[in-house]
Amino acid sequence: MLCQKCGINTANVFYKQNNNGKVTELALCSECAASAGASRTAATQSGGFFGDPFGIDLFSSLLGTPVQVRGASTEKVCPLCGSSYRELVSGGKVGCAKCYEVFKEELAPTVAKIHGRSRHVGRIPSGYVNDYVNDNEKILGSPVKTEEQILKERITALNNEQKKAVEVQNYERAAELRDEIRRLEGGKESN
Amino acid sequence: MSWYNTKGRDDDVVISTRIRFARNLSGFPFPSKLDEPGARALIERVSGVFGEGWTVVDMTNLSRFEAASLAEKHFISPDFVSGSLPRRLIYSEVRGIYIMVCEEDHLRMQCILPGMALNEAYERLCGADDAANNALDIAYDAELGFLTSCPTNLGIAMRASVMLFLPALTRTRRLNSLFPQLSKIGLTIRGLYGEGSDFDGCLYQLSNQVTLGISEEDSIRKLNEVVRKIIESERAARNALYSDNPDAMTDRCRRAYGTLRYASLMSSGEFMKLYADIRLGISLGLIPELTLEALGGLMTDIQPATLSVNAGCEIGEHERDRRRAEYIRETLSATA
Repeated sequence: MLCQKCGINTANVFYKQNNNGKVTELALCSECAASAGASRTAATQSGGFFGDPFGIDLFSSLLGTPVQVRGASTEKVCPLCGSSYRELVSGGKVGCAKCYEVFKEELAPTVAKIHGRSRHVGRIPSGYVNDYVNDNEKILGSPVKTEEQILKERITALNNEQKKAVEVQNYERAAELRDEIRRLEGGKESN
Repeated sequence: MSWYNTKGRDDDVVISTRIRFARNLSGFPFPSKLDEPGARALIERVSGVFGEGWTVVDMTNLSRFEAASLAEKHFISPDFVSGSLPRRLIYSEVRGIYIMVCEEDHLRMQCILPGMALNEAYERLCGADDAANNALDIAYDAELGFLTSCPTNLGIAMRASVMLFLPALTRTRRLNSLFPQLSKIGLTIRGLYGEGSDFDGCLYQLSNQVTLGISEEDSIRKLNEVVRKIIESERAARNALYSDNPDAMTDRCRRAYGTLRYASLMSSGEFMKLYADIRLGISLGLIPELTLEALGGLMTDIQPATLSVNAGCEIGEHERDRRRAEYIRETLSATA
């Protein structure tokens, strides 16, 4: 896709703006985006009883940040559904279950923005072998860790990561980690 | 009988409970990337799982207003009313379970019950989910949980919600202070059928926002606790409102009853305001002629597309207003 402003360079910065329900999308090259200084507003939608957060097109607006798009691979394509990462960004939806594996790295920041650094707990499809638990058993040769042990280890890891973030003066990341640690410890997120 | 015409627990405040799971099959692209043959193959795979006791509706065979009526009854989402791909609704009225095949995800399975019934809805839905999990290769990842078309739903891919009727908390503006508190604990609330920001119908949907890092049970437990508190607050606020000025409250509720019982034309907007007043009046014992059960499916039956379905053809706005008023008059006079 060519830049909608200059029509010469390939567009690699995507904006989506929701103005009173009217959604406008814009695809620009890095140069035009920088000169236009376009601002981006998170997309919101509303609907009926079903129009709950299940339907909110948060993904597209989160993905549509220049940094992530620039860093994304333009060549890689999902073997199951044929999507490129760029298509996921412009469509605001993941193409198939395989995409989560193929574009794991590219999707990780988006997942973290939406959900923090949480890991799934809850129902597991019957017959599914929980690799995480099994790997631990294999590696440690000991019984499966309790949830409390896993939580404690995660908090320690997050604390280390927070210290590193402070060292490199990445205070935004450090604050995110602090909130996550507090959340895991049962405390409240700071405002 | 469906959620909207059956009595439920705590139905003076909680109109209905709904829990929904999103599920996808590993080998198929998600619906946004699915072509027609793929959608047909998917439908065939899924249909085999839900045999006896389930009814299958081919959405492409329905007229626009028939499909829209299903959305008005909350059996399907508004997005499922129309679409380019083949779509099926698989449902069991006795279970209260409605499964949309080929919506945003391959399966959107929901259980909807009257009143406050989060635990029951969850148990019932798990039964249908187990059937799907046993027979189908459901897309799942140990870290991300159930894999969904939109990453906002990753994890438990569950949305549990209750439809609340909160006239007293709305009028005393106490809801405004509740909204930010809810988002802090991972819940979200929004107005339904509201015109502008006034929430004329005083109906709200409260649901869980977080899906990754919390189990279904914990999420439902939290929602249960919050709803219990809201029910208590709403009941207390209703009594306080009445005590402040009993005559004015009685007059307002009985005027609403009078208008609904005798009007010849009734728009949806006017109905929702008056309906809020008669529901409130009934719960305070100010309209002894009526009960909540007697209102039955009134709120659903007078919606535009459902009026068309009952008329047998698509009808215009004026005719809808006339038929709506007629239907309300009949319902209310039959019970008085």
